[in-house]
Amino acid sequence: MSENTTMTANGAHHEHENHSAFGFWLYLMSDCILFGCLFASYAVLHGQFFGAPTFKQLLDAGDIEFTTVAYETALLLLSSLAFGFAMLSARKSNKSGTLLWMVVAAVLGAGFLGLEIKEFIHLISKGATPESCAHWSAFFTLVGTHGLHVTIGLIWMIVLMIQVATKGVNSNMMPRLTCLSLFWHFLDIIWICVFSFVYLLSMV
Amino acid sequence: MLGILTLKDIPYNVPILVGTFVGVVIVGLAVLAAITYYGKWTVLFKNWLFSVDHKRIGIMYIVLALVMLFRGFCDALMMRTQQAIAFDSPGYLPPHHYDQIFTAHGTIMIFFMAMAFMQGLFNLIVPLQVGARDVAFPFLNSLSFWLTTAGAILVNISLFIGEFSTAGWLAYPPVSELQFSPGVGVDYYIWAVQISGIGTVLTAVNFMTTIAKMRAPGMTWMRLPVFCWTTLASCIMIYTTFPALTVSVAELTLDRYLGMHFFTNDLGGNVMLYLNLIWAWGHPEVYILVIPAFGCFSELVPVFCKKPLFGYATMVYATLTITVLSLLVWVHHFFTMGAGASVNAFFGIMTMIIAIPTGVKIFNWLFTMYRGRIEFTAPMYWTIGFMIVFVIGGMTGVMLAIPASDFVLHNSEFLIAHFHNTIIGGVYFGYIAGMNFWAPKVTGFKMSQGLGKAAFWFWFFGFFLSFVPLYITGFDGMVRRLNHYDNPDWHMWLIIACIGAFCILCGVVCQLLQIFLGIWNMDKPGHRDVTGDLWDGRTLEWSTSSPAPIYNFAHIPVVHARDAFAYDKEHGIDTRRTSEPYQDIVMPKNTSAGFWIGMIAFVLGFGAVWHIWWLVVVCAILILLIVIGYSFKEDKEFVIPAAEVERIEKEHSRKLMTQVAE
Amino acid sequence: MVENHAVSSHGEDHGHGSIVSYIVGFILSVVLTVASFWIVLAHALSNSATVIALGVLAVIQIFVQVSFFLHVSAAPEQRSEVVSFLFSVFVALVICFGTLFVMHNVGHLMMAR
Repeated sequence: MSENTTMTANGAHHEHENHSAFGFWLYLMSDCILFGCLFASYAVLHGQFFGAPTFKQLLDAGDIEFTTVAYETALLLLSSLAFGFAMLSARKSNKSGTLLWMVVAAVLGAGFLGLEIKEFIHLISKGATPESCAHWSAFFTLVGTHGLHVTIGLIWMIVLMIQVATKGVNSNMMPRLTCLSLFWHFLDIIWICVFSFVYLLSMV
Repeated sequence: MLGILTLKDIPYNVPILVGTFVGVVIVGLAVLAAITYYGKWTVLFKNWLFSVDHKRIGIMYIVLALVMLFRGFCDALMMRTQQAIAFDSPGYLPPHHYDQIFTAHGTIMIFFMAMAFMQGLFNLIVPLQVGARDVAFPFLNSLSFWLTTAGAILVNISLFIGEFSTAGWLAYPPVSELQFSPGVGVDYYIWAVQISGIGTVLTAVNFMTTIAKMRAPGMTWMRLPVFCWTTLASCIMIYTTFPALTVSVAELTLDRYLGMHFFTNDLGGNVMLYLNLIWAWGHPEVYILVIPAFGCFSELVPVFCKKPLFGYATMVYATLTITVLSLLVWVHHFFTMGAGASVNAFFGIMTMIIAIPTGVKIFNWLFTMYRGRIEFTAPMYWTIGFMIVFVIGGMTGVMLAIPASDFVLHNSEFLIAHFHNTIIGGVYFGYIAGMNFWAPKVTGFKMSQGLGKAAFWFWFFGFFLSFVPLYITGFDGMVRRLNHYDNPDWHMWLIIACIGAFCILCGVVCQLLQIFLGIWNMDKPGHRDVTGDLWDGRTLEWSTSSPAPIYNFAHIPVVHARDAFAYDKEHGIDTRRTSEPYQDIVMPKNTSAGFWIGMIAFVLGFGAVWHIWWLVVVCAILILLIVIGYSFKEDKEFVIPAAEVERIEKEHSRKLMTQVAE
Repeated sequence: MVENHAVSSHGEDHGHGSIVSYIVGFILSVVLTVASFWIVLAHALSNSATVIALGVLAVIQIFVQVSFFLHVSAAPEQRSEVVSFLFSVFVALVICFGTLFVMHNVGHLMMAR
């Protein structure tokens, strides 16, 4: 947006931020229903092992550990908090604070992703592969879609870090940071459902 | 290098396809030559393909929809001809080819004809009706269009490279699984639907934001024109249900590409889960399409009856009720799958309840017409035709909603007749009425009323000739998608249906003529709409010139009442506020990013269909880079100086004056 | 923005959150998460009660995060956000429970071995 623009009757300038945040919010709602459908698929197909290792077997053998899930949960929650602090710094136009907290959030997010990938590889090595049965197809698709979202969030975060570093926190940056913060917190909310209904419920 | 694509995938030994290919090449070359001859390449790209102006994107959507209508209609004619002659004989279309045709017909008509037409109408009208200068996210709008186009190209390229799906328009497993459809047809379907689906969700987000946040000052929710309400309802259904389509088709993709077991027959896969999920999208989808058509009628009936819409509030509430109820009825598409009485009864009753708000709407239009001074223009013809055809379709829908009778009629020709009754009678008649109504606003020239009415009569009678026989054969036990048959009772009816299809062809020709003649005569005196308010309209889009200037409104209009423009005209208020000084206007710059992302998405889809993985990776990276690069761009807007605005507005005022003087 | 201050509980700009709101949200989330894990690992409740408890705790935590991290509240200028959020949750629940209702019923009748 150039500097010499005039205000329109709507006060277009001020409202642009609202628009992108609201538009992105609507997209997130759509994404939320997408996860709802994935959860529905998982709920219908869970327990369909057909000879593949079952969740209980893997749990008893120590191949699925509740500590991994707990660490993943902690990392994602802390990452969400860190991004919240990045937003607070950004609102005070504190560029270095914003960048610092964004780096923290990104590192924690990458840690989450690393743990998840490690777990996936381990599960696959034990024969619980996505091709083995309907249960694991639904499991990997649901958890993997969340992981894919985290990956996209990380790429986005890196791009925004570059933009903050080069351009500073200005009125152009705030809507973008706001959208990413919505996305990042949203992924944590989805994760609440994943650890509750996929991991913990299977441990009952 | 080329994945699984080999020379034998080019169907050079199928005469029909070779003929089509030659035809497409000749027409394509003629178009390219014409563009070159008139030196329009720069104009085409700069002013149209790269445009972020909602009016131009709207026109491109409708052009896409009409091209796809032509393709889908050719498919329909081929099917009708095949069934007319395939009594006790194989006909002229072998089953494998025939199956591709009915699949392509359904896929194209819903995803690329109806959806494209609908998004075109959103684009053309909504920003003008809410008094905004553009949509909330102009770049996303361009991207939406190009993603839809990418899907459309993907479906059509399957004619000449490889094959299309034979599994029906919803690609039911297990037929669509790798085991039974080892070819690339289903993959074409999958990628076309997914790519265009992303575009559709973006459109929904865009227009919901536009309507929620960019209404002109004074336009409260209950002053919002009904077409905008229906757009909003349609967008709500898109953003809440398209994820179900995305997920079901994505899971099918995972089954086919990665050997997973969502819907396979073995290892715990559950076929009915696919039906359940895809119809959670599929049923709202028909309301997504028909609700904006209701919006068109609600706008044009008051204009041509010269009185306000009867029961505006009930119209709004009925629309929202349908929006919510549409999410609760999906099982009526598969009553026969074996669920118990509790499930079937619940969904049967919910389905019948939807008839109530729909009935409210019909009565609202009837009461608007009652004691109105009705002007029988072409859009009014389509509207009255709609009421007759659609009510019959609704009635047969209620019949199908009764689980017990559905067990008899499920997947019979009766069902085919029913949904064409609602989709043609409701959606198509509505969009065409809307197109006839708003075309002068968008293009600046009038369309022939005579040809419009002729088209209507051909469609109206052609429709009944085509589909009433199908109701009868359906009762007679004929199932859908038959390639050939040996029941003499059906033969006569199928010949009548074929005659009906050719009757509709005459209607299509009239419509094409209407458009071509409109363009041909557009500069002749008397063919232009200089007032901007050809029909004595009631809403804001008629307050600006035809076609609207790029900024739509020099001054954002102030709304004093429902039917804002009608109120202003009655009370002598100058909606354009010509006496006030003009200001600079900031508009979004055109960008090629949407076009390129769309085209690369098409290549990506093509690569994925043929397992050309390096191409998929390259395309994905390119799309990512374009998106990131676009986000780094700073000057995305330009300024129209106040003097230029004043010049354009004065010019329009001068034309209005001469018109009045005459 | 005047009315924002009136409804904001933390004195900060509403819709943006404050350090206090983030910390409170974080602590509540930790408590709720630990409770979920504890119920399962300690076998504190019967199986069906555990399932219900997990569901309730998850829903509470979702609302905690939506209000403390996403800063969605009942403020008038956020009505569109709230309405769209509640409607989306409604649709997600309809799809999940509708699917389970239908598929359980059909599985019960058709898949009986």
